[in-house]
Amino acid sequence: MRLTLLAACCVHATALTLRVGIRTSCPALPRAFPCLVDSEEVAKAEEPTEETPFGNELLIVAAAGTALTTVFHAPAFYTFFTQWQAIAASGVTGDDFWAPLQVRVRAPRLGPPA
Amino acid sequence: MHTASRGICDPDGSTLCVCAQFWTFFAAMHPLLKPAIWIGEVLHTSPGPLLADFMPYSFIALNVLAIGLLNTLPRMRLALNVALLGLFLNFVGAGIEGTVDLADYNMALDDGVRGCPTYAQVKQPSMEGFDVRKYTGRWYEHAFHDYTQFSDVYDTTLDIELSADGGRWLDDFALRGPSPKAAPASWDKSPVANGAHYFLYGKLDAKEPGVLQESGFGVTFPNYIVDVQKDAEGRYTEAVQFQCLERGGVRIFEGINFLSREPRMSEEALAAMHERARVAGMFPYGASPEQMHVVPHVPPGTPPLQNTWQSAWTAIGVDKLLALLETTTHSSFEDTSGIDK
Repeated sequence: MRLTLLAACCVHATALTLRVGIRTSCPALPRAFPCLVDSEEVAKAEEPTEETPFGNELLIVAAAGTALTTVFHAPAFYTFFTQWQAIAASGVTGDDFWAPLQVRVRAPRLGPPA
Repeated sequence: MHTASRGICDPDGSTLCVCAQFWTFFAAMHPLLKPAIWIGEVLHTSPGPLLADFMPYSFIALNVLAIGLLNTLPRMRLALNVALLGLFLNFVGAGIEGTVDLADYNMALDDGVRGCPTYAQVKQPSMEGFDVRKYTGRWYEHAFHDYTQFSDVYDTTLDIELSADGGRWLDDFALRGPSPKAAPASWDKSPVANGAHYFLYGKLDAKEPGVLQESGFGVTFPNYIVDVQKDAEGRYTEAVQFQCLERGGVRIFEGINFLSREPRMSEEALAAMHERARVAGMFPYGASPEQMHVVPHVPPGTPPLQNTWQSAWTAIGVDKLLALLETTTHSSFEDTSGIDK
């Protein structure tokens, strides 16, 4: 129940943030139940956040643009991944297939592979 | 999943893993290079007086302002990061669709035709009696279709050496960049304006002259010498090379290079090379004029660039670093102790 209340509070705070550009906190619950919340998290939540009046709008435009471009190129990406799957299905092992993703996640680097 | 005894990517360059890394590296490098060149242009076109004849005060002020804004406005920073991600996805997506530049950023797999041809399918009659020893020395690249190269660079040359035992070759690939066309304000201030090298290794196939297994950027792929032209003494004067990387019947990379021994090539000679490539069946792989980038070359004997920026690069040892890379590569090429292990 407490968790539900906490989640509801944060959801509403986020929604309010997106609409009016003001960050609201939900400090009452953490103060009431200090043992449930890490002290650093509380300190972070109480930090005043300086923001531009256009911050939300810029973020929304950037997110919408990124989503649109992803949708626009989706058929090409789909074909591309289907082709890699075809290579994997041709006999190359699954380990080899997923290894590049694992490498990128664990050790991103800019140089050419050694 | 992987065991400790098994590497994530096999070092012989044969697995899908290294092929995917190879593709990903170049898919990412192209969109990263473009803004780097753009920042250089902004730097060298910023108005106002210069700090130590080096950098405009206005550019420094612009940087301080931008960094300050991004540091104090986290939501704007997040918006910028999201926008950059969107631009990156758009660039890569367009590269897969082939709408950026078919010569240097055609990132589609199996574009045009499926898989790679055999050497017999593309080899031209001019290759009869091919002698690789006559193929060594300096070649000037005049046109390419190759996503491991960048159309923003220029003056690309290949210096090919054979090992003492004649079984391997070293391809010393040199370039300058960015080109005056790609970066009119900053081309002569770049750390590689006076040239940079990277090296590709090849293992010659004694049974099939004109074919070598070339290694570079972690992968191994066949490099076919498809066609050569000869002068009256039988020396090779022009060549068409074709590299193709295929796994599981799907073509991941194709590279086509038009080479000659001279830094200049007439339009007629270039058109004749396209025609020979067409006859060899290479148009579906990217050898048609609209799918290749023509490489400009500096006139022979052009002195090295000298300016404040080049002096700065020299002062911090960039030239020594490039020379060291070249020296160590040659040393390792001549070291035959690891052959065929």
